[in-house]
Amino acid sequence: MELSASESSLSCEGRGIIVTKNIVIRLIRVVTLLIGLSILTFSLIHLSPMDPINAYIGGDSSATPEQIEKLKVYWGLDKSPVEQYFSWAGALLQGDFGTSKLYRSPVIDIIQSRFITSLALMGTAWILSGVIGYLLGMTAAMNRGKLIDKIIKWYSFTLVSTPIFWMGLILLIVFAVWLKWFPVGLAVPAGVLESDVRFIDRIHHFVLPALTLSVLGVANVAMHTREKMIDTLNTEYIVFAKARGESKWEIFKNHGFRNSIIPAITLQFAYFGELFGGSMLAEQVFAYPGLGSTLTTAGLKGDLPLMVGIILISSLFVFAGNLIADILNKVVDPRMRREV
Amino acid sequence: MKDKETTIVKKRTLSYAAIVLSVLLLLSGCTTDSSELEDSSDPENPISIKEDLVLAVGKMDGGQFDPKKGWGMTQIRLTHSSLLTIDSDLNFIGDLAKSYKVSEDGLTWIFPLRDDAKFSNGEQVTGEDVKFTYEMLKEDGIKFDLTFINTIEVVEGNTVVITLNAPRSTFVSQLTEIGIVPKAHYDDHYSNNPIGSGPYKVVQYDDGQQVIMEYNPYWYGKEPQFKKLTFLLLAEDASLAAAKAGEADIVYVPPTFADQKVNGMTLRTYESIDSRGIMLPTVPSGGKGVTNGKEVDLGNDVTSDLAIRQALNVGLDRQKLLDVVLDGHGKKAYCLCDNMPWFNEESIVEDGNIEAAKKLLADGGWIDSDKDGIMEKNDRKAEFDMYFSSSDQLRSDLSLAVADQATAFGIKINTIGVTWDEIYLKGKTAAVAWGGGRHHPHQLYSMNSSLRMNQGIDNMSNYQNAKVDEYLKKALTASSQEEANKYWKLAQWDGETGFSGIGDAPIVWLLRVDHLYLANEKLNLGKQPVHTHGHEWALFGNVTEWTWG
Repeated sequence: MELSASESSLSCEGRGIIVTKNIVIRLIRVVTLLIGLSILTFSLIHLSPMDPINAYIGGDSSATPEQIEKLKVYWGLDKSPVEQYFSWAGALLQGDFGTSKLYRSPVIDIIQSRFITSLALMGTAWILSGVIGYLLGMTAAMNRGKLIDKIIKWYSFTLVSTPIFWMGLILLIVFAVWLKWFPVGLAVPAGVLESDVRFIDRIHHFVLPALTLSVLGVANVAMHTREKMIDTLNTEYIVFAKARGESKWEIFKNHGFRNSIIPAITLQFAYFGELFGGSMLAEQVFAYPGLGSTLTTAGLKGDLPLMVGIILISSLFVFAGNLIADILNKVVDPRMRREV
Repeated sequence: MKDKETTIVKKRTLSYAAIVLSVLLLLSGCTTDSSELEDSSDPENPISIKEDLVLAVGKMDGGQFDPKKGWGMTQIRLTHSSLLTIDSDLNFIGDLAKSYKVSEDGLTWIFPLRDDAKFSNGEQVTGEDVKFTYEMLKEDGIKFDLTFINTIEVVEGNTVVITLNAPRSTFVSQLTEIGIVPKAHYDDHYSNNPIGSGPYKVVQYDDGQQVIMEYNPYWYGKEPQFKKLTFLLLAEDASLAAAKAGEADIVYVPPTFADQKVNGMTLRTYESIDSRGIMLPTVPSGGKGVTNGKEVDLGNDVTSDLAIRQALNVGLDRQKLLDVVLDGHGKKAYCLCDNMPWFNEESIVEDGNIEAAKKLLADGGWIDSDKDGIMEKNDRKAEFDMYFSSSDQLRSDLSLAVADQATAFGIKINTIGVTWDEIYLKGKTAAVAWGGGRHHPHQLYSMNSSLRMNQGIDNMSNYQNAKVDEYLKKALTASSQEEANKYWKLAQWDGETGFSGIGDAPIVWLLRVDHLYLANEKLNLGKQPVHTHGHEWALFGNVTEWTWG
């Protein structure tokens, strides 16, 4: 008795060390990832012909060389790229993301206000596509070879090969232009003051972009769930369960759910990155002012601080997605806990 | 202000959280049917008198209402007023200034201000505000070149006196373009709360979405019929969709959309001075120049040959270009200033004349000796690159059409679509699809004077002609508009030389783009002056005259 107690406390400690080690490794990984990303962004911008001075003064300037020189000093563009990077990184360590050249206001404020809009959009799309995708995949697998399976398969294959902006445009034409059920764009009704915008108005403007984003995410989850479920259905224990007289529902509940949810979870959280890219296009199509459309503008106008800020925040977001997927997998599947 | 912002952000956070929650609720109820949401989609209650307009005229928020950021090329008349303005017959008349007087030597400009002009916050527009605005912009120097101003003084009788270092006839143009800002309320955050003295004030600016403007009750001019304007910041295709969905009263359309039919809307076509042409380097390759403060390579050995440039001017068929590129929605252009009071009509040529083009080339020593369809001179082929902004449909169509036509007289043009940044880097070594056109002749000077080489993106072709420089200088320093116009005309063509197509042709101007709008058939947009470069905004010069019915 005594022996086993001390043994278990030892293994407990051991596991604690492993978990801490894991967390430290992940932290190091995310920090190096962010440093690498920021260096990459900085260098890419310096290598590109994109010039923040051109973007700022535009095509209608008669600025003299002296005035341009003054502007460069004001923005710190007269220093070498390496110096620029270090002064930016130094400020960031103190929590200062810098000031957007385009909007002339702190980057963090802009990101904050846009992130809320994008988050609602992506969050809804994420939940919808996950749940619907899983249900569709499940239904298809349980009814393999039947008409419903064929329909779901056809639907998924079509969607997976559809560009998101095209889908957005189709929805726009059908629901906004022909049927006039939803507005053609923006996040709030035209000509209504911020204080007068009703909640229902926001929903009304929210539906089409959210729908566009979710419709496409469905296909991936559905097809992977279907495959995994079919694998499970082909195992001997399912045959045994059938032989014991378990119903379809019982098979799903007792064996199918836990086995098939793992790829769904992994995919769904890894899908964060794609979701981000998708929202960028959906926001463009619907003139929905989120993080994606801001990133596009920042990129086209050479607004380096804003661009790097958004890239860092979004990569943190994607990283968090993957991390959560890993952790959840271990929670759901006891086998993975042991493998660490 | 800060508190208000945070509560708005909080409110928004809450409502977005609520959206996500409600979606979750919908899901847990196992219904993804959105019919409940659709019921609420009915538009607002009908309005008896039309007092508000919804406009989708492009991404108009460049400059963000701040003259220092570039608000003021053509669009200021909504929110700001300036010392002078232009009437629909292109005369310079008083606006904030009751009138203006220029001294004999052209150095002193006197502006007695009107006493009833007020900003949208009710405060008087004073000479101090004018002085502040001009001095601030002169100091900044990016958007407006005011280096020629010596002093600005506010004298008795609510009058502003501006003295110049040298006479400057094109100063009138800046006087119409610079919106006056209030000295007491101007700072780096002016865009967030722009106070101006125009007919409308900005009540809400949702960046990337919309701008809401309301009538400024302190406006000193004619009261407009429309008390509220909502600008949707949509791209061209989304704007058209908004028009088709009946959500906008007036929409800017590019020529490619001109044949789109929308119920209850009619196409409005306005002639413009918004010109497009080909900028051609006039010096041989090898040198170095500066564009927007960056050192760049200079010159092109083919386009620097005068015969090549003149052949393009005569050989290209402008009418065919108009038909191909603009579906006919445009006019021919021969100079940057067609039909303006300073336009020299002698520069008009009979174009599309391939024989004349071939003769010009032959006289210049270009012959097709190896019979491959491309002319040669001293073993150099008549072949050069032409850059165009790849995000600009019109310029890319124009470039392709020009390249196609030029083969008929033995010139091979390789068209390359790139970003503007790249054009600025390489533009001095190759042809570029160029644009311009204003209600004033200053661009004639900035695009063709040798003094403007290497400044910003002025005189990209590095053109230099002593005679033309002399005329341009005389025009610029003339003390009256009539005298100035005489020299502007001579600079284009004096019978022997000039910068127009029949002269040295540093830029071969080809066509002017009609500005097209789809507008509700009931909307009357008044008498529009000829529009300028900078599409969307030329429309608003007479916004107070617009009516409905």
